[in-house]
Amino acid sequence: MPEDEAAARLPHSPPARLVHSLRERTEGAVRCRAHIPLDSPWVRDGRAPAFVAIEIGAQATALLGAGGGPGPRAGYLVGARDARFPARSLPAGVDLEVEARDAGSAPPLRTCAIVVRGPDGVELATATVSVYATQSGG
Amino acid sequence: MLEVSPAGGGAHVLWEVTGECACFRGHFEGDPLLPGITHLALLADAATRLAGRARTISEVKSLRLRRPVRPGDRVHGTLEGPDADGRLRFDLRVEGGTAASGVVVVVDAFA
Repeated sequence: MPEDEAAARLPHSPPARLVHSLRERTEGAVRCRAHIPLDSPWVRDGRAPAFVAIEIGAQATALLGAGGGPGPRAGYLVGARDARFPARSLPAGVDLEVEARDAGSAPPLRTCAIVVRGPDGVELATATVSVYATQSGG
Repeated sequence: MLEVSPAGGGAHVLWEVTGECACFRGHFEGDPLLPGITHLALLADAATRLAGRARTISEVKSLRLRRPVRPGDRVHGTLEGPDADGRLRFDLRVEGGTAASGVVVVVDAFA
């Protein structure tokens, strides 16, 4: 999914949009490029709190569920659990990678295990997130 | 402006949510909705004030988001802890009921 298409599937706009393109889709999983803008309200001194990884994971989870139909689909983060942040903060202004893997979804509720990695491939955050997706554009 | 009042083994918090909050930028155009992680930012801020030193969240044991929060809402709630392991339980409410609840672990930001 090219960047423009990924953007069209998420209702977020800058600086709230953190997932920018889908690199790979496999059975029940997606791997995406993420990026925290330097002008994000979460960023101080070039870094964001590690819990921003939950929002990155939620957007990737929403992309996993954005299969067919035109336009953005509203997806609401409704829960997270077992989130661990080996890094206390995330670098902004650099490419990150997020992987979202289905962990027992029951549409319209989608639950995924997510991993956020830094530019060097090191795990920065892991969690299980749940997103409630609307059935139509919104 | 976040108000934090120590109470027992925790605190009461009060936050008047305004549309000027930068967290609404892009989330979403024409339909401002507080990003769920903003509740975590509130907790880290409250934990910092209670401890008198910079605190951050190292784990989210559980987070349940039950009601949307929008400009003009008044978020108030209770914090229990943090205990010796840093666990902080929270229940944040808006008119109508709980907006967010769960358990996080807070640690020193610069440990």
